[in-house]
Amino acid sequence: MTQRSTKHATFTIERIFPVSPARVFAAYADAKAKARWFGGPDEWEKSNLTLDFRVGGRESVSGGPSGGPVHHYNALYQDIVPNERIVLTYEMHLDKTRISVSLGTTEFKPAGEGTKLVYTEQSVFLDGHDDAGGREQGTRGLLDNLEAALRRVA
Amino acid sequence: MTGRSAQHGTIRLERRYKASPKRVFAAWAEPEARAKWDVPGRWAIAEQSFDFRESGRELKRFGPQTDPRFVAETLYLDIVPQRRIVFSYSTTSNGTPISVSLTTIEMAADGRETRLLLTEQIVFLDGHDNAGNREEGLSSMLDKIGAML
Amino acid sequence: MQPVAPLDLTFQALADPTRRTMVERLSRGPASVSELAEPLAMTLSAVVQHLAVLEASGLVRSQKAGRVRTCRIEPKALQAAERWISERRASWEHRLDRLGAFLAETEPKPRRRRKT
Repeated sequence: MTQRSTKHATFTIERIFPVSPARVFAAYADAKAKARWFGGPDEWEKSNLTLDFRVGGRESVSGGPSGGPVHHYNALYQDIVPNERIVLTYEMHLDKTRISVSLGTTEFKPAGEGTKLVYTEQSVFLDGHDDAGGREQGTRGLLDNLEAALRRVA
Repeated sequence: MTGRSAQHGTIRLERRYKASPKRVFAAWAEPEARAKWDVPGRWAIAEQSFDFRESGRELKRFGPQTDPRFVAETLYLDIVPQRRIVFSYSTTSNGTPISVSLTTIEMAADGRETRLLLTEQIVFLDGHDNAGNREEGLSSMLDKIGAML
Repeated sequence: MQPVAPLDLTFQALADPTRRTMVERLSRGPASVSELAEPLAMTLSAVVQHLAVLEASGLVRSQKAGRVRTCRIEPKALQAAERWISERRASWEHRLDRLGAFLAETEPKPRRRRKT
């Protein structure tokens, strides 16, 4: 009998960006802008990011090392408050195996002339695929990418 | 300045039922069964759809008879028959989002019984009208007090 | 600021089914004393007595404007039960209770072994 297990985890990351909430939000709301920062490492082979940015809309992107397993990201937008908040649920698959399901909340708060971004992720890791903080680390990396992308355009 | 807030929390509940995992799972999976037990205590269901499968979506509209203003939309994400159900659901009141949740239900055989573990990870939005839960919660609390006396 | 009554006073106040019905009604919104009394099969003075117990416990407060006394739930007193996460938890407890009742009601009857 297959061993079934789950591990639930929550983390929160706060970051300050030197641009307005509207500018940061725009990097989430448009497929082209999002693809500039959201995705796996540069050396990975990647699919195009598809984004239907509305409540009930979907988002997906896949990628992986050449010859290795493919990571599939698939999200559903649950709540969008322009320039203020995004709530979505997403699944990660490794090839055909579902490894996690998550609830992600991104809040965009004015901080002086910039933005305080607060991201909270509540996840369930399935069947031993928990990653000892790898998800949190990976998310910090994505926010580094976002900061670099925002500075490039500024 | 809008009163925007997002509060996060996780609840965990455990139950033991004198039934096999097969029966417990069927109570969720079969529409006729679920329609019998998954009904709000005091409120009416105005509308309900069933689609129990991965990627299946269900909608439930409920509330006071004269004002069924609450909607819960469920999306099934992971289903392992007789073992596990993972779903997300969002609740709205008159179209205004109240919460989004990720719910994990795990079943494990324990002799002739089933141990059920429910974990729900929730984001509660903007401190809105939570009468949907408050009513149930208050009813439940009042019933328990009544039963205690 | 009114101090929150100790929990046992609250439970004492809720020991009576009529008072629980009144609290449930008020949880849906404020009501005048006559509105509260309407569905109850008792004299107005009996209702007023119940109301006094609820007010003493801090669960309910009332205010008179002209001839009408309006009652409302005191949010602070219900804070523990009102906080969103305890409500969600209580809601699930209720649902899982119902699942248990359903499973008990639909328990397959043991088959009699036929004697050959």
